[in-house]
Amino acid sequence: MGALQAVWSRRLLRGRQGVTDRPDVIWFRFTMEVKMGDKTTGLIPGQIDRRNFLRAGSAAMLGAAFLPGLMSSTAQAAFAGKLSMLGWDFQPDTIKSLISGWTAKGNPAVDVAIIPNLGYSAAIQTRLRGGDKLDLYYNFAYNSQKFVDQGWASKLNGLPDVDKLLGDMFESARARHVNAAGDIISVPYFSAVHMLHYNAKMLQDAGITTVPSTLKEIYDASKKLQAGGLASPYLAYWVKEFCEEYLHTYLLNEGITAFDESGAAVFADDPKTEGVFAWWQQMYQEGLAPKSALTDDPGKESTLMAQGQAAFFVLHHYFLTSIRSIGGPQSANVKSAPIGGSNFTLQIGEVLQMGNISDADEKNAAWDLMKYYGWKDTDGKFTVFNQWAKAAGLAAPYPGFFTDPDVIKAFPDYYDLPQISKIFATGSKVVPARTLPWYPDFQAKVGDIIHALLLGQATPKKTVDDLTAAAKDAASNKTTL
Amino acid sequence: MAATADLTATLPRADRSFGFRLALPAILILVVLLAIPAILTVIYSMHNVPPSGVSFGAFVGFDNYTLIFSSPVFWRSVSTTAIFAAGFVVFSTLIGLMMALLLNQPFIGRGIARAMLIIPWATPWLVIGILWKWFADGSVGGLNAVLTQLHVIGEYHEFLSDPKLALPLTILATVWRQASFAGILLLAGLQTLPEELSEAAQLDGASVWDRFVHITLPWLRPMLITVIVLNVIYAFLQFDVVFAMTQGGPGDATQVLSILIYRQLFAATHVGVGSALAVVLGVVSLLGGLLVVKLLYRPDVPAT
Amino acid sequence: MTTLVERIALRRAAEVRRGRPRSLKATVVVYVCVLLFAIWVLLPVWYLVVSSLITVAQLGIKPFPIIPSSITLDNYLSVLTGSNGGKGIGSTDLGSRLLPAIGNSFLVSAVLVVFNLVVAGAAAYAMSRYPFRGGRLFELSVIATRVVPAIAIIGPFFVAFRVLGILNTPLALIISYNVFTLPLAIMILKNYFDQLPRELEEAAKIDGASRLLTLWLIIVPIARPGLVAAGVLIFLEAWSEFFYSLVLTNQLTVTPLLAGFQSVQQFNWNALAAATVMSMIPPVVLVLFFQRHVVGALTAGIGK
Repeated sequence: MGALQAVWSRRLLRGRQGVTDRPDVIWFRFTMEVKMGDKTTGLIPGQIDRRNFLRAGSAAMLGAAFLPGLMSSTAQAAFAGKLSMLGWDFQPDTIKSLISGWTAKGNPAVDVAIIPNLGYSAAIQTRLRGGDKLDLYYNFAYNSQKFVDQGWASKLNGLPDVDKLLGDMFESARARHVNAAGDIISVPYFSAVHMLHYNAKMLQDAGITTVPSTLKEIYDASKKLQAGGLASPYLAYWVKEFCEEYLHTYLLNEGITAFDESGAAVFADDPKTEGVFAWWQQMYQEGLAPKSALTDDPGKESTLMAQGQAAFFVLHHYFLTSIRSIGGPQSANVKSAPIGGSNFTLQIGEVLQMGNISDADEKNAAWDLMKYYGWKDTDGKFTVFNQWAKAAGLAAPYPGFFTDPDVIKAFPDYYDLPQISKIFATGSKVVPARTLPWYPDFQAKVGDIIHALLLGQATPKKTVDDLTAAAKDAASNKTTL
Repeated sequence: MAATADLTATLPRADRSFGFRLALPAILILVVLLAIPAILTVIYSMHNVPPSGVSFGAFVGFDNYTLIFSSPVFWRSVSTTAIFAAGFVVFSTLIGLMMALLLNQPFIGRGIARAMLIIPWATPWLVIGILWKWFADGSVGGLNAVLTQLHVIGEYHEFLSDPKLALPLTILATVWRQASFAGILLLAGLQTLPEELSEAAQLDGASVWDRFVHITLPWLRPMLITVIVLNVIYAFLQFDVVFAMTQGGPGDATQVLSILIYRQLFAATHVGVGSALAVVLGVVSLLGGLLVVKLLYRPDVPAT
Repeated sequence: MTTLVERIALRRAAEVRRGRPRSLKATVVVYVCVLLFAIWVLLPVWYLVVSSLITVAQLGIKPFPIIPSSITLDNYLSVLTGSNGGKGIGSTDLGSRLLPAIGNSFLVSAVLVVFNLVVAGAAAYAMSRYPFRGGRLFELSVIATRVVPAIAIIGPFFVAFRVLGILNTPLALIISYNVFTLPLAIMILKNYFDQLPRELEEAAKIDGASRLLTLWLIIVPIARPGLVAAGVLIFLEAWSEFFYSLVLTNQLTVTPLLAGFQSVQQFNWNALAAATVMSMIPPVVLVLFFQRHVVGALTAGIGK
């Protein structure tokens, strides 16, 4: 079935479900769709860069279209098999119930496989290398381009409504899912921003009147709390695999862009970078962060916050749910605040990718599921994200999400949704370089280098040099141990 | 193992062919399951295999090996592995020997004690890793609780985040299991030691130490060699415990060679380099085992 | 390998000798050592068991209570029923997966035991009694297979199983585990057969029994202790295996399931401890049940 016919028949189906639209809108949309469809072929690379594409894409957004019966009719061929989906071990009950909810609406059955979060990247690469056929799967954003390049993930260009999906997103978030050449490589699984979870009562008791927000303020406040008897007031998830997120968070906090438009590492050029690493090393060496920050799970750190053994916890915004629901003696005193002062924090999101599917019907079915899971259901509601909001406080990178009344009801009331939405919109940055194909090689090195810094085995200056060298090596495809 | 070569010549052909047919399924299985993948690994090690694994990639000869041997990360890992192996072998053998000697003495409840000896050995390596990771935990761990209550240390310490203590602690965890294994084997060996020997020596006025050195140890020698050789190989190939406890961290304090292989093969998907590392590790383990056998085995010492 | 009669005789002799008094000092030393031994073996296990019986809140108390003030079975219930009762984070269906995983581990291990005993038994018997041309080479290569790092050769297995469509099934594990169980079984059984007296077979041969019949009707019953011991060891190895199960299946067996429980969002050491205790019970019980045989067969032939 041709792409256009697929588009049309989906419209027909939606029409049967009672979704209609104005005919002139329909025609405009149809022509834009055709033009979009051509974008993936015959383009001279560089002629259209990501920014142009994204602007064009959002200009084409005009609501659901209903194509009048101009094309010859082909009934939608249903995919009769089972889709296969792979995810990591976060609330598998919720995943399965969401998926069966989708199947129950007349969609194909889905085989959901769950594997441990620890070593997920390694496990999925081994499976895909062995030729495993997956229809869709969770992935880390920094792996997404590599997977496309290796033929393990499909590009999503030209699929029905994909431009609408992107248009619905915060502009800051689009760069995570669209690469520099304009290819759409993933849809969101969830999104989050790094925030500061803090114990309001402890700060009040220590005489700290404003919630710290810059690196220096956090250092000063931590020092004060430590002097007041709290052994290690600052918590963060500094295991090797995660240091790369904190690298960007802390650099963005100081307004430093790590990578430029072409993907070259430019943080070495900024004189403030060394200061960031000096700060990071100090936090660890002076005991403001516990020694176990290099190995602790976030779950354990949430518990420490709940028990009142720490006052600050910098990680994704949704950990507030974890801290509060533990119900420890200090849980109710923990609130969240933005970090970075007048600068930015890091916006992350993990993604859903589509496997390498050749059968058109299977592809359509998988795409339907992806839209349901990563965007809205066919009624236009954020069903899946609603569930995640309720279960864990996860967010979605769509402005409409934060203003949706069902979502607002789903979030526990200790969340300040407008604040989080604002951070998404203007207070945070996605680092586009993370979707470069060589980025995973760089990401793998960051943990080693930062651990050496924190353990005092390297100076901040050396850390800057090492990271720059690692980026350069990765970009030139040089293999190092 | 008893020598079988000399019997071959004297056996009639019918018997030999029967033997061959009996062993054939095993031979076939090992060839398919072990020989072929092992050969493939060696082939991979000489190519620049793409992550997608669709082909062998470009032939690079010994480039991967050169990369490995010129990398300081590799050599640090070698030294970490060597320290780990040494600690593992020495302490599990020593503690195992001590436990065997103890359990050979009569005392009330010895049967229960011997049953207790088996518990660590029956525990899977991964479970050992998980158990000791939490036992050594810096806030809720039992090790800290015991040490602080005995006033050995002043306050709770983060063992697994301390680059100086992480490796000793992984050694401790693996020794905890392997000492039992050594203990079981050595105890069995001790039980075959005829009591008359040590009795006679005692009557002659030999001290406990003398009896130990001149009677017990030589008697146990073959058993000790077996235990040590097996332990050496276990030590070099150990993966599960380190993976569960520290994942090679903090920093690279516990990054033994098997962890390095895991990172290259699965995390970084550099299949060529990872395979080369695996070949190197295999050769090193083999050499280690052979070295131990050469150093300790003396066939001319009579067993009685 | 001592027969039952010989063992009784030895014990009686030992009892007679026990009439000889031990000095008080020696007795004290022995019992102190027994206490230390008990602490060494039991302390981590005690920590694990206590952790599984207390709540999350109690866990935070420093120092960790050796005797908890109150115990609860909630953790076991939550693991068995799959609910995350109490204050944990997020949902987990670990409970509904643990028991099936234990069942799968059992299935894989049991099938491997039977299969390996037959195949390895035949091969070991052949190598011992009917050495064939190339047998020595085979023997050496079996020893050499112990040094192959298992994590390196998993790639080809994955591809082959995907082609055969048996990924994520127990069959995939049953096939691939042979990589390490078969050489182990061959080595142990060959050792065992080597020191089994040949007179019975000679007698049977004189009586005109065929080779296969001799093997089946006469050798197997006599070799039962060795076979049982090898079976236990194979069971333990298969039960413990982590990495192959992690890669080739979706947490089908116990070990990758436990490892996955330590994932990012789901933290609850108490529930994990309960799950760990439950997964330690089968191998420990099995080994305790068969301990005499295991030790005997492991040490048979060593020292000769």
